[in-house]
Amino acid sequence: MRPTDELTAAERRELIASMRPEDAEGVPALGELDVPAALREQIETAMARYPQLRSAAIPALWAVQRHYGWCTPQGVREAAAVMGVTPAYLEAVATFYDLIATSPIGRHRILVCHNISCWMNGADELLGAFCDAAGADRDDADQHGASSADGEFFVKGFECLGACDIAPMASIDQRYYGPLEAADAVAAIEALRDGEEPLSDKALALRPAAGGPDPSATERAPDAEGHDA
Amino acid sequence: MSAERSKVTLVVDGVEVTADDGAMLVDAAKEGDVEIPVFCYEPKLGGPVGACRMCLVEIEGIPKLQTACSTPVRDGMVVYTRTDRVIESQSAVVEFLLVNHPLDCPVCDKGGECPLQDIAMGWGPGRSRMTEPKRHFRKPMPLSPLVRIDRERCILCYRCVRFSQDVAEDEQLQLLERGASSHVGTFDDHPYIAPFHGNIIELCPVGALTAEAYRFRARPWDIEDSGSVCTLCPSQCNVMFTVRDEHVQRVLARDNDDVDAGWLCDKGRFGFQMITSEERIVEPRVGGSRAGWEAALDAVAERLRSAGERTAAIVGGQTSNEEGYLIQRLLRGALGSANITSVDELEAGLARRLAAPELGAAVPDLDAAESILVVGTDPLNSIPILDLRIRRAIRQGRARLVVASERPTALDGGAEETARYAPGDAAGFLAALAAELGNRRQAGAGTPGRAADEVPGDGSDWAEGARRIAGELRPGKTVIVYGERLGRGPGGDSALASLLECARALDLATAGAGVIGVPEGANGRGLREVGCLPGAGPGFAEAPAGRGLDRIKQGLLDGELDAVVLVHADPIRNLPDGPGWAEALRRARTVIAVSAFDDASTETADIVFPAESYAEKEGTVTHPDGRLQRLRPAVPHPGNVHPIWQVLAELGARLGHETGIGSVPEAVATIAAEVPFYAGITPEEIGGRGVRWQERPAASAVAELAAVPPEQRTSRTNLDRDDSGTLTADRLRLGTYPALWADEITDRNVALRFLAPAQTVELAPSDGERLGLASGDEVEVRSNGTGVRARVALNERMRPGAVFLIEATAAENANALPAELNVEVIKP
Ligand code: SF4
Ligand code: SF4
Ligand code: FES
Ligand code: FES
Repeated sequence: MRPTDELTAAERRELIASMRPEDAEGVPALGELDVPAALREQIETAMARYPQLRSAAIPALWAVQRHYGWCTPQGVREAAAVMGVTPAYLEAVATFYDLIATSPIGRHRILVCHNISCWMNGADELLGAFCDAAGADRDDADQHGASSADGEFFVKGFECLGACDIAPMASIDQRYYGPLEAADAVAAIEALRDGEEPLSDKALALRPAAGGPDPSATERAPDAEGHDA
Repeated sequence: MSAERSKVTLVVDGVEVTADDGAMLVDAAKEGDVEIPVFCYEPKLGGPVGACRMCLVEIEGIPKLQTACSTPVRDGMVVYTRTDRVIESQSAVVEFLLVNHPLDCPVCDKGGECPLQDIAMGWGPGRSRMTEPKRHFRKPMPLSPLVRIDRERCILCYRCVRFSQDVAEDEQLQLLERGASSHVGTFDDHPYIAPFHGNIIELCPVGALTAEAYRFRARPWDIEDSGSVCTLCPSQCNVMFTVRDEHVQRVLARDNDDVDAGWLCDKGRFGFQMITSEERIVEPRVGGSRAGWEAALDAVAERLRSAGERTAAIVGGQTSNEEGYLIQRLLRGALGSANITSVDELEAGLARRLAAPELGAAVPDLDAAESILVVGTDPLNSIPILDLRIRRAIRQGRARLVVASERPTALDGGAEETARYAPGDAAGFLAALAAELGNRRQAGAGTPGRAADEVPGDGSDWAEGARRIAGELRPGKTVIVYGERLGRGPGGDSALASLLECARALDLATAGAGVIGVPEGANGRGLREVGCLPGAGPGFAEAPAGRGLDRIKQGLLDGELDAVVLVHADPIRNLPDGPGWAEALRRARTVIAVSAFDDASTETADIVFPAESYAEKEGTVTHPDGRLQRLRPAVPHPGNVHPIWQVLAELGARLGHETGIGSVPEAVATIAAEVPFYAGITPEEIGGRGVRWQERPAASAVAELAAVPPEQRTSRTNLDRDDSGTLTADRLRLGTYPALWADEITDRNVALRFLAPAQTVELAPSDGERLGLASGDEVEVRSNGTGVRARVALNERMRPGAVFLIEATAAENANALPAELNVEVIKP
């Protein structure tokens, strides 16, 4: 769409005539859409979990993203139909969050923290290494995120992911890894390309302290105030 | 309406102020003539949100500055609005709002009437420290064919988005993205098209949302405001015409909480272009050629004199009370004919009983009702502003809504229960509901009554629906919004009689409860009250029985009637059996039409008088809840258009019936003298806000209106449907409905034309499957050899066995089908 001031009167009339009442996006009729059964089930499960239907917006969008790789307009419309809300409502939620993609992104998502702790520990080099290994544009990655041309990777500089103790760190497909060096970036990308688990030795979730597979690990009970001891 | 609130006293900037307890500080301060600047505060949108921080003030005893828009007053509060701290925060907020604002006032439509300009001047620092580049958006973009958006000017106050979410509940308009990228938009850049979306233009405190039709047309110092009432539908919203050089350039809301709660629908807001349309009839015409008034009046007088009592008149909904009164007087007084009716014809006795003052609910009663029953109408199509009103009542959690209708309504989603009866079965359903409610009432009083399923007929599902509906209705605390079209057709009288029975069983003749009838025509109620009803004169006075619509048509066909006068009425397009009307008008010896535009009915007319537009008219109309409202002329008459009341009075005089009415106030006085429940009313008393006649002392003079024969049971006789009404597998029952945009107003306003619906046939998905039809298929809906082409729309909320077509579309009009219940849907 072009700004109307750049159009001739005839073009403007044409543009306006192209906007049809049926193009307005109200709540889509579920019967008119072919929502994939698995997607529908995930969304309905999420809806059942909350007293307020709208609380399921994020899980629903997440399910769409898992299903289509990103929140495609069609996917958002399907989720809206299942939830009985307008796609616009879901789009407002989706565009608010960085982790919900409303344009196509690479298959593996690598978020490199570049906030203060990680930055002091070499985040810029790490981000650069990930970009180079994946084939993503460095400048873009630092701003809005960048995908590799082959569509395999999406790399984005991110704000503090709350894991400063393992700075510099990155989140790869929803898992935290750190501390990382440039060489780890190359290894991680290679592993992902080969369809393997990346950097298992640096995965936060696999550490004993995180309840990882260390037989000697004992579970720590939260104290009376609910803090971890 | 609301109980008197207790008062509190506070001090604002040293001035003692008395205000309602619970009022927000910003409103209370006005009582002391103190203005606190606001951006996001707009009570019409619901509770305050405190989003913009423009209204910060200092309150003694509270360390931090407080938002005056969301702080309720307390007794003894001491408030300062001009301390250094407050001034500093105000100028900081203004500076912040202007950080990204383009300040393109010289080319901005809002310039001169812009709250941002005013507040920046009044409370801003005067200078900005910002040297960074501002946000840039491509602009202006069409948000819809009627509204353009300039996102650079937007100050992110959320008003438009709140309107879409919380008032219209269409939720198409959203705030997308976050932080510095936030902007107002829609899903995937789809247009925002919804029946009330024009309100966002008026809500926007800056020039971010502008009206396509008003862009660059005028500056505030070029224009005059002229208050009147929109008579494009029965909502009768209060409007303010923006007039420049004697042309209406814009229509704004003139907030009247008792009528419209400050909103307009898009028809009312953008439907003014027809006033200056080139296609308007602006001169009298005799036999197809232009004529002067003298010649035209002589011609009409002569023809009517010879037709005499063999004359009939049909009065359309846009007609004012004065015009309606004069036309009935012309017929009854000058011609001795009793054949006068409006398009909102009801049986006279029922009309009288339904108008009973203690039974009538006022629009604001919807706000406080505990339950609302919408029956036989879809407010969105027939009285749009009540759709918003009912939504608000539900949203505020006070009312439970139940909907009983043949066709799905826009309000179904918010309803606790819905019952869907088949087209033509309203009488059966309402009888079941009345029986169920009566039964419940008697059970409450200890006497067992009849159960709903004892109602004769095959209405087992009526009984079930009636039970569900009745279970939600609170005696004495219910408002029923019913479509007066329930009174149409063979079962019509019985349907309305049952409705009255429901009202009685629910004790609705109490304050805060009652019924509101939704007429088809904007002034349907007023026209009946001033005597445009066969068998009832002004004030429902007994009058000789006359022909109603069907018998007028028949009389014209049989040659028993010679002449028909159409006052703002186009029966061929708007009444059932259009072809029958076309034939009747063709056969009539004389057709006289008062019309603003050429249409199928004026084509048959021998003499055409040009009609005034509503912006030119002076007079009164009566809202469906009994509120008399004043129409005031905003612009002069174009061409050779004369006030219709004058034309009718003059005609009477030529026919030897002097009315003595020489002005609109005199007409009002005459009506007030004849309609007992309007007694003494004057234009001054009606004023700018209107007055409900039920709330005036004169209403008590008509207690007999309410005197309903005790326990007059509904006559069940015409409940027995003829066999054509039985539902069988391959026969579908046809219902028709008036769609919001299927009317002449849409066609006559260039800007609205895109909304005119193409004929659509709605079916339940199960019927679609059985007939092998999918949404979007082109089909023909046939009945008795006549067909209408339509596109299929399967609708899950439709009742199986029923199909619906739209009335009064410009092409493929459902009214072109014979008045037949059974149809076939065929794929050509
Ligand atoms: S477009 Fe206007 S009403 Fe909407 S958020 Fe922006 S400034 Fe407010
Ligand atoms: S709702 Fe009816 S009265 Fe109100 S603005 Fe719209 S057309 Fe006019
Ligand atoms: S700064 Fe990187 S995780 Fe906190
Ligand atoms: S007006 Fe009070 S915060 Fe906006």
